[in-house]
Amino acid sequence: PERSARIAKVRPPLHQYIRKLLFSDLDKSTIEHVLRQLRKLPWSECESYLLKCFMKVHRGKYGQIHLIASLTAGLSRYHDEFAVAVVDEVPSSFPENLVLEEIRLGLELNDYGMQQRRIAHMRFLGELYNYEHVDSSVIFETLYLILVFGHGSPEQDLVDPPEDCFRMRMIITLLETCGHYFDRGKYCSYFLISFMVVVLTWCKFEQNSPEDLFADLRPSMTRYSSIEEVNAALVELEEHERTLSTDKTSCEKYSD
Amino acid sequence: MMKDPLARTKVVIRHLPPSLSQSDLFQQIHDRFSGRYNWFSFRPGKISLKNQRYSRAYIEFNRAEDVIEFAEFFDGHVFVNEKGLQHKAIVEYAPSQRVPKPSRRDGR
Repeated sequence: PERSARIAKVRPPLHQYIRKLLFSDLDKSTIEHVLRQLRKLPWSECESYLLKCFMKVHRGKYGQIHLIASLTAGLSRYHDEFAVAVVDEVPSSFPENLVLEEIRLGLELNDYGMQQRRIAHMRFLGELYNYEHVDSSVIFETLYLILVFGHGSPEQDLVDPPEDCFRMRMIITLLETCGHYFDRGKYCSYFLISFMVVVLTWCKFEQNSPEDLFADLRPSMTRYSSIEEVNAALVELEEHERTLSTDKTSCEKYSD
Repeated sequence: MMKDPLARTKVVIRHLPPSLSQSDLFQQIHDRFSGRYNWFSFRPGKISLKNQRYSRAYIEFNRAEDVIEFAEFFDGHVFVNEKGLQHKAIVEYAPSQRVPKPSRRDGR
């Protein structure tokens, strides 16, 4: 039967060059070169395309995501507008795709490709923190957003079916990437205890156990086995903090 | 634990119609908030058969009070596109409060 040949996407040479730099040339030994080439680009013409490519971190190798984070930090000196845009894009890509309205539009949420992409974005955000390009408040806001988003809403099981525990993987990925910087901070302790609630209530299945994460970040923290115990621990931690802060007028700072 | 809300001045307005243009949005913002913001960045949405993405904008206000007033007006504000479809906007503090520093010219 007559069928027209599939038309390959033809990209302008400039876009092809950007893709070659980011998706095939970039590695540990060429990053300086790639950064210089990016700086030489006609920015007014290709800034939005560059942003699009930077957000495709899931296309490259997982172990190389930190190189894109490093490039972002490197470009901020000359193109801070761009570097800020990259950061704005990363946390927003999560609720943007998960918003309940989009479920009603029939978006395939548990599409495998989308999951890979979200995991890659978590890794990217953590690496941006490691390169001192975002501060810890962004990390914690993102962690809490993932933790509470859609919780208790009628669509909860659609957003995150209990057997899937996809959010748990997102949280583990982000903390595996940059959690070692929060090894003592109280904000991270608060978060980890709240996280236990989720693990206990949502995730009835064991395959994504965050046990390694807890062992790395808080080896001595008690693992609670019921919601009541977790709540009691949160209250205790709050009281402990209150006595500490009345002892010395400690300034409110993030724990990094 | 979050940064004092009174210190936060950068907001994101989300769920804007995918077809909304930067000039249409800022005409509406300009009417009420002209001179009260010092930076903005518009991210156009996308309409294709496969997926659609809402438009979004980030705005840095001069004062925290302006943020409140902006949210009172635009949070839940209904934008109507050319086909009569309604989109209800959401205003939130931007997760990252960073705004660009003026970059030096790249000598390359």
